[in-house]
Amino acid sequence: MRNTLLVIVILVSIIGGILIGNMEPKIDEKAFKSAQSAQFRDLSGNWRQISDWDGVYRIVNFWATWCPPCLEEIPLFINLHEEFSDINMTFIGIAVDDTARVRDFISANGVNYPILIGSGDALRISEVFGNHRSGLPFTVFLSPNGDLIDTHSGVVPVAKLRDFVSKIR
Amino acid sequence: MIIRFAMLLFFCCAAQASADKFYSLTGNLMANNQLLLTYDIDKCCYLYKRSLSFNLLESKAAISKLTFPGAIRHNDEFFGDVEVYRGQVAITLELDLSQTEGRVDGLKLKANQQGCSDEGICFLPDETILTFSFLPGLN
Repeated sequence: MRNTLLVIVILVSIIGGILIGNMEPKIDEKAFKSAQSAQFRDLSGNWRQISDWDGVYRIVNFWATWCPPCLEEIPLFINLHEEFSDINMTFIGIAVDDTARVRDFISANGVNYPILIGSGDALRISEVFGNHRSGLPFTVFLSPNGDLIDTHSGVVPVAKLRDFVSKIR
Repeated sequence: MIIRFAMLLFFCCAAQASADKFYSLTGNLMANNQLLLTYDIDKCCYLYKRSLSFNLLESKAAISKLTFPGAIRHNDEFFGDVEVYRGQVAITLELDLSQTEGRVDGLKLKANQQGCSDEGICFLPDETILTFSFLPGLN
């Protein structure tokens, strides 16, 4: 009887711990909306914000040149941005990085979608979108009116990107 | 006893790596004006050797020698072969105190580091400041 109780307690603790550990805290709606108005410089030095692309589906990717998994997925974003240039969707990259390093990477790799640059503030914005582990890459899928459709921490699987794009089409 | 064990299991399973948690850095004074810096890195994660740098802040003391232990080869698609550290890493830092006078108070060491998790999530380059006070040669 005592052993059975022990096994039950252990199982409940493990399952409960895993569930709690994977549970996403709720997103603050007000902060979420204002995060879309946060200002970042683009590569021309102009101030831009995510809401500048209101009316368009957005895949907003937080990345950095010091983050190898981030660099791994960018060629796929370039290809999809080109392949689906005829639909109401854009990729937006927000680099948590130094402008010179971003500029070098962009020109060397032919990035064809808008890139904005932030520093620690960009990471704080990604946290508002649900990046609770404060890691990169982190990707946010937004509707044309700025509603959150989905987020992904780590490299986004190709299937997930294609699924998102095919639903728009 | 069972409750304590259950709580331990609960919190272990609930833990996930984040920038604040995946490593800790401690420093200990050793003989001959040496500092032993020890990183304890979570199993999920690694630190890039090349991201590690150490600087003394506002001090007449200087770092005369840094000794890193052997690192692990890691292949990044973009960065190629790089060296990383996992688990516990002990780095020895020798201080040149020839320009200091008497007791060293509040010696501040700034450590920079950056790492990633095996799940493919990388954390912002981070800095830690450790403070030491000691009488040269007596540790």
